[in-house]
Amino acid sequence: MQHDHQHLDFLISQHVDGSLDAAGKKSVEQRLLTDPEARKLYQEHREVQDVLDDWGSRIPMINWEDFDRKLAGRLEKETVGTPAQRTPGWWKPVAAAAALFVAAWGGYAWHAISGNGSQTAVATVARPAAGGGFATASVKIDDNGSAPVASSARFRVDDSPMSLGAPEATASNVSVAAPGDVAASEALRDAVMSGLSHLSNMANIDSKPGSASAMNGFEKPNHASDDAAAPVDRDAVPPLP
Amino acid sequence: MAGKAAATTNDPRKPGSNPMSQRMPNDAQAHSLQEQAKQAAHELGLVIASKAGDRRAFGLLAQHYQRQCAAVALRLLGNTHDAAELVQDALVKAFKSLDQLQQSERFGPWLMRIVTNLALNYRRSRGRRQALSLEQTLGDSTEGDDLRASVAGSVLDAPDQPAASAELGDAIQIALNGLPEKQRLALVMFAIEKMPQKDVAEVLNCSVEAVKWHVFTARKQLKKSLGNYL
Repeated sequence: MQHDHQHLDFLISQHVDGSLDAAGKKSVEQRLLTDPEARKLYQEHREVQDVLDDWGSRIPMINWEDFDRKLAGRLEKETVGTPAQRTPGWWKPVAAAAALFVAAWGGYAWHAISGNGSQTAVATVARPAAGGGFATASVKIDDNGSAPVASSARFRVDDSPMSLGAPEATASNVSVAAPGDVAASEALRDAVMSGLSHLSNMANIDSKPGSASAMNGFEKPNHASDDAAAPVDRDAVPPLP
Repeated sequence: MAGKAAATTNDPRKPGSNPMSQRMPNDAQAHSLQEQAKQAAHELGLVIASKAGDRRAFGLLAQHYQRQCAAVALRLLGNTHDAAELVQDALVKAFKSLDQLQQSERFGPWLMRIVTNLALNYRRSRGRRQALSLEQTLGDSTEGDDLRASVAGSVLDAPDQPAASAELGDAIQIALNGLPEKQRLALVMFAIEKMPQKDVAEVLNCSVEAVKWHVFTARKQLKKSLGNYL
């Protein structure tokens, strides 16, 4: 009985709010015609809602011109302090290239100075992708003493990074498939080759820090026959911990 | 954020009425829907431009929503000055956090969520400050008057309202302040400011049915609290 009363009360509340569907509305209206208790409940909800409507009609007396001016000033101040919102769109690729260059140079310097005969290399190669933009492959090569292994590989086409996880491509099996894009696959292969080349030249780097031959340790293997190849970067980093 | 949807003018009980008319909008409804779609598209464009750092676009968005935000803030805080400051803070925060807005077309409810969160935080910190102030100035009648003005919301804007109406306004504000948080927010946003239930549900992070229930229980509580004024 109590439950029925509360249910009716809730339905009447929704009727006052105008949030009942057509069937619910019709049902409540029929009940209101025949049930004095329902009419009493309706009256109570209506009374409170009318008071709220009247109270709600009072609008805040705010000087909106002042408000807008003050807000514009605060937004300008915020924007001045946020370089990302006022720098043009080209800054990201430029920053990425600069970071890559710094990382490569840092890696080279670290190897040259420490001379610890690292057994890990990371190589990055890029070339035009079939659908436009560039396919970029980045491969980490580990030499565990028996055979060099590509322990992880990442490549991306344009701005869509895709990870291949850890394909475990060995030195003799560098054709790790890059889904749907021959250029990406070639970039990946070249990255692996570049990493292997780097590993094989490490002794040279260590023995002659800072020399021209040491720089060659970061060079990509010869792909002169492949006109489409467009290596834009080569990278080497210190061994991972 | 538009008000509640208008009731349909097609009466299916009319003899000979076209059954299709229950689903097909009439000219006025079609025009209204077109206007809403146009408005939504315009607003979406402003949100996208704002996300790219366009302050002018964000200024237009702010102008569209600031009155409703201020009205909600005023009902929650009971003080125009605080409400205006809070809306400023909310808009600045929204501008700075636009990259976190996943659905650009839901800017309105997202902004209102920021407003209500800030308002609730403000109320809590004000409550703590007032508790401290009360302890320090116990017995000082002037402080007591200020406190009443702040808590009861007697600074509501209606300079020419009659004394009885002002008294009722105070009573409503006190009754609202005594409601549980979600009931108070649901009542203010839906029953007073006429925001769509879907938007209120989004702000409160609950279902539309829960919004209806919060409004129902809040209104019942208000009926008890305002018994003498009704």
